Amino acid sequence: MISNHPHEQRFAAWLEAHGAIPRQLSRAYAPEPADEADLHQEMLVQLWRSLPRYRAQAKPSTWIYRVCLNTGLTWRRTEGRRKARVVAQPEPIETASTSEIGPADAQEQQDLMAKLMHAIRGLPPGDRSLVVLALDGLNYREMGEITGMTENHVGVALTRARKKLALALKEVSDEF
Amino acid sequence: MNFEDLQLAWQQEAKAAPKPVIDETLIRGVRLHSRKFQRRIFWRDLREVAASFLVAFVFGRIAWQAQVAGSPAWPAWIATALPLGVAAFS
Repeated sequence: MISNHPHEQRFAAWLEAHGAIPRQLSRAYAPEPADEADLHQEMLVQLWRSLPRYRAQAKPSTWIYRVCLNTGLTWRRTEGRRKARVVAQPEPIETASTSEIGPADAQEQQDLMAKLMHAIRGLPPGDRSLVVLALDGLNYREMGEITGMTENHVGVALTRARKKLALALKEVSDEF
Repeated sequence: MNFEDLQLAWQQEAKAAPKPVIDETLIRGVRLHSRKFQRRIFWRDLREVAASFLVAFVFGRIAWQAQVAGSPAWPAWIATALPLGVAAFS
């Protein structure tokens, strides 16, 4: 049960509607899969702290993307966090439910996602942001609002980033 | 595999992932981590201010000694003012 405090109410509403954003971004930005839970927690903390600064000039999703991307770009795994994880061993963020697709398709999907994540993690941070936003289905204007780039610049940079992703995926597929 | 296939897989994954349980425990955890973060920032700022004052004190002393000795002291005065500026904006 959440209290009636507007801060908590808004935070809960944001997570309810856009909870996938920090989840997917933490997967893409964690240096290793084991860091996903820590980074996800950090993104939620920064979202919580950013709430008083939100002025409804941007869509909540744009704001959430901005906060989470900035957190992902600046987040560093500390030795303290690593030790705490060794002691606590939190559960990793779960992958897709397999109830709606067959086991073979599910395995294929998991393999593809593992390769994709591996390739994304190998991209430079700026390219990674654009690729993740494009994978989420955002258009150039929305990507520009989030990253602070012009639409033209987004187009050029994304084309370059997609090429790097294709190359990285090819390398990952060869490795697997 | 083209980008549209990857996009589809990515979005399916996002849709299929279990929704987080948004309850008092989650909010309490976030609030707790937020306080810890705030404390970390406070101590970091405090360390920065203390270090700035220390550096300003050292250069201030050098500047003062240079002034008393009649040597050009302005570079040392600038070096004194800069860390004070850092402290003011921390």
